[in-house]
Amino acid sequence: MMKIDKSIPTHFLYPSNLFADKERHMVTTILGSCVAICLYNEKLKYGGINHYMLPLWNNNGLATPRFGNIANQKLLEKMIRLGSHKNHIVAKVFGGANQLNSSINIGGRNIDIALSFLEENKIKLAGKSVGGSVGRKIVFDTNSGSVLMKYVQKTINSK
Amino acid sequence: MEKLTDEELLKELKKRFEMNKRMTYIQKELMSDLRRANEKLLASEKVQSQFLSNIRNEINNPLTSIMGLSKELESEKSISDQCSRKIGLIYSEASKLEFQMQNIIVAAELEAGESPLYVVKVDVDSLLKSVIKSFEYFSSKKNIKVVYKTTFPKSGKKFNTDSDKLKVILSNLVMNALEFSEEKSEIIINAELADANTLIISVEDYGEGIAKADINKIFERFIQLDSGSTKKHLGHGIGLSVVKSLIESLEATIDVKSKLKKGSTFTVSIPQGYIKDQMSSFSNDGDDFLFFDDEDVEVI
Repeated sequence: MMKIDKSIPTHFLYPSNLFADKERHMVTTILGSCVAICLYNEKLKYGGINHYMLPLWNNNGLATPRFGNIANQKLLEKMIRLGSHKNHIVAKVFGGANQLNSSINIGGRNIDIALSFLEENKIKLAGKSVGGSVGRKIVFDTNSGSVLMKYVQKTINSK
Repeated sequence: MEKLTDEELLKELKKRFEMNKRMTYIQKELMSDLRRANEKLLASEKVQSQFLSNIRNEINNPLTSIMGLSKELESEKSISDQCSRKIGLIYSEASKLEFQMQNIIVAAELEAGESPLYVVKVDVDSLLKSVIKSFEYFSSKKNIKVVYKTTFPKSGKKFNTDSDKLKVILSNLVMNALEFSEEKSEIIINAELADANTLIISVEDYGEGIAKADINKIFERFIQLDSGSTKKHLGHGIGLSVVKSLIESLEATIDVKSKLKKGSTFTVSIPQGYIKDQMSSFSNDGDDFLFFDDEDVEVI
């Protein structure tokens, strides 16, 4: 069991948002059928994370990181803007559970978008915990790239 | 196939070799052009993101001064009527600008994924009144009567939601209703709690209305149904796409009923949000986590 060091700055990542910073942060997020990609630059030791709810943007509303295709691109752009080279980035993918009452398999489609995005951009997948039927709570350490994770049954507001 | 003599073959080979060389050269040129363009793009991205974070105060501060001072001057007794009218115009134009700027900034934040939820206890009644008040100038200019109906208890029922986001949603709906209403008409705003956890607010106008076929288009980015040379309304088609994205982040829904030439009703239905403490500490099994680091390790 791991305990979280409370002296490190924390950030709670809401759905449809993304976060990347050169300073060390412990980023927490809660995932149901949503997917989060954690990108980590091994050389410069910093990372970023997104949290999207649906696979694709359909031109309705704004092009926000609520949608996988937008969120993944924006996260990678943000990493690059902070000085990363694509070749030094590794990724971990979480979430995409299928809630029992969902018949359209949003979780699965969210996972597909994440994995194909990483493949297209030749980003190495360092680990993943996806699918299943239970939600996840993850804490991403942007300084080491490590992720703490636990399965959660009782979810409030996690999509 | 045609047979070539040695000499012809040599000539052909030489020709192809030259062509190849030229192609490689062109390719190299193109590559370096591409690289330069890419560098430029990255630089402009960087500038853009810094620009957006700086722009808010740089624009809002002078605008607030213009609005505050013109409002003050307008009611000054020592100036002529004509002058006061002109000052009123300065105020109304500045507040339109402020409204548009707010939409642009909110859209930029949403698109950058930097728009977290701040759920607090909101006094919806006061919020609605303040939104209506902020458009008093426009409604009185067009002589539009804004009717506000509510079934909230007088004590001021508090509802958990993101107050800033709700305010932007309502401002846009009211602004649209005013913009598309005829002069001397009426706008009806109705707010009620459908049940303890659902807030329903509707904004009804008797304006131009939207054709059935166009209803789905109105939430698209940069779409204005009367664009081009016939455009007679304010804005740049960003308001409702902002509303839609904000509605999504509040996990709310929006419903549009409209009839051409008869008017439109926009109804939002907002679920009670969770205050952050509840949200991040929802699981009461403590801060014990399993370490997840190696490839394909599923920790249960």
